Amino acid sequence: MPRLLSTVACNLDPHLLGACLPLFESGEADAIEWSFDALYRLDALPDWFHGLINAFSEGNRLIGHGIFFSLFSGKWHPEQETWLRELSAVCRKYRFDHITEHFGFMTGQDFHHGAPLNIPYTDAALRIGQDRLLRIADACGRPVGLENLAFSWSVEEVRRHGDFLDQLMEPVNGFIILDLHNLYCQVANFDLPFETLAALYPLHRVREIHISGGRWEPSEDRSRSIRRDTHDDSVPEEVFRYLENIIPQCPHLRYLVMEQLGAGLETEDSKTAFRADFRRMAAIAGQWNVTKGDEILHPFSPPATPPQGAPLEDLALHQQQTELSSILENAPSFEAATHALQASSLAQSHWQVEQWSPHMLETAIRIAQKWMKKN
Amino acid sequence: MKLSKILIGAIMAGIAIQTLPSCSKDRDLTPQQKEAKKKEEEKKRHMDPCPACGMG
Repeated sequence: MPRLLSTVACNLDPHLLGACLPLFESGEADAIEWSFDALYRLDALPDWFHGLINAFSEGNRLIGHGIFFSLFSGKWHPEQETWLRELSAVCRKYRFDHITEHFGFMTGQDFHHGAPLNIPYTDAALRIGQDRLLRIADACGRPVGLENLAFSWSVEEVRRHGDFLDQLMEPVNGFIILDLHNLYCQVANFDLPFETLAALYPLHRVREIHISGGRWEPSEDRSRSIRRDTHDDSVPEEVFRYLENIIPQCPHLRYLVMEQLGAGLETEDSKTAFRADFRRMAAIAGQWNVTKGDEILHPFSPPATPPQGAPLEDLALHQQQTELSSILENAPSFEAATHALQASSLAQSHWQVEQWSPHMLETAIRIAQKWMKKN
Repeated sequence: MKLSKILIGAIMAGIAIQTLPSCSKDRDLTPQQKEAKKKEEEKKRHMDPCPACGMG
């Protein structure tokens, strides 16, 4: 296993940067992960933020984490073409060690006012995902990875996610980010043991691990709590246990990333707790690093040949995604959403809406309506 | 990774500027303009958090 790099997910947010500053001053942060596409509202980076990104870029300690590509949209959108062009440009400016994106498709009209949701694990979806990952690799010229999704419609999907990720990454010779808080959500929301779930993931492809916090939310009928990946609280004790447990099983692991949003870092106490979590993660990495000899890094090099032809599309999938987004964003209640789904083209299809967990449909409505309202 | 003291100072100043509320010529603005300006500054200060892991 290579030397582990303790990394902070770092964006242009004063609270987050304020929390990270002591880690930069002391040199404790080995690397940073930057969501390069989150600043679409700005024409240019402030000079000082460019200086920060550039310093880690020159030290070969910068990794990029996209948010808004929407890998599995059934239709190829102009926004995706633009995203790839901007990715190429940012990769000419900064040297990223690798580039990653998220699983799923984004609801919402332009991907910036939506939430990521799961898709049916069909051959058609697999081909679309593989094609688009090759296009990302072609645009950035760097190893490409994908993060596991926290959201699932059913326990069956939870069980199949890891294998589907493995098949997806095969043609691009890619890797996965294993987000342990996302797994924590799955464990809690679907009553599965962590060890069972972790064994279903292609751990030989893990190059990066994320840890973060979230919150509990009561279901509508108050019968249970749903764990959400809101990134606005400290890392749960259980997630640290997962981390210690999983590291020895990931032979190509390189980056441990601590994620938290600025919205959860507005007080001095929360900033102190953030740094304590980072230092605990770094201490776990340090235990592994003391035993390391020469570094042997798995290259995860993408193929040299660019993808051929036009991007793959599945217009029937696009139609279903549009219907689903509209139902989730506009449903006045859980019951109304259930009825609308039964009358939609998703009924009796690969989506298997008949098997969806009611609590997760309820959560999807909340998430879709939360992000739709952002403007 | 260790950063230079100059860069640390620049980041510190940058954070301070981004956190400060605006204090320029607000008296000349209508309530609607003030509201629009406030929203714009809010956007710049709080960039989109990450919705992308799902469950966010």
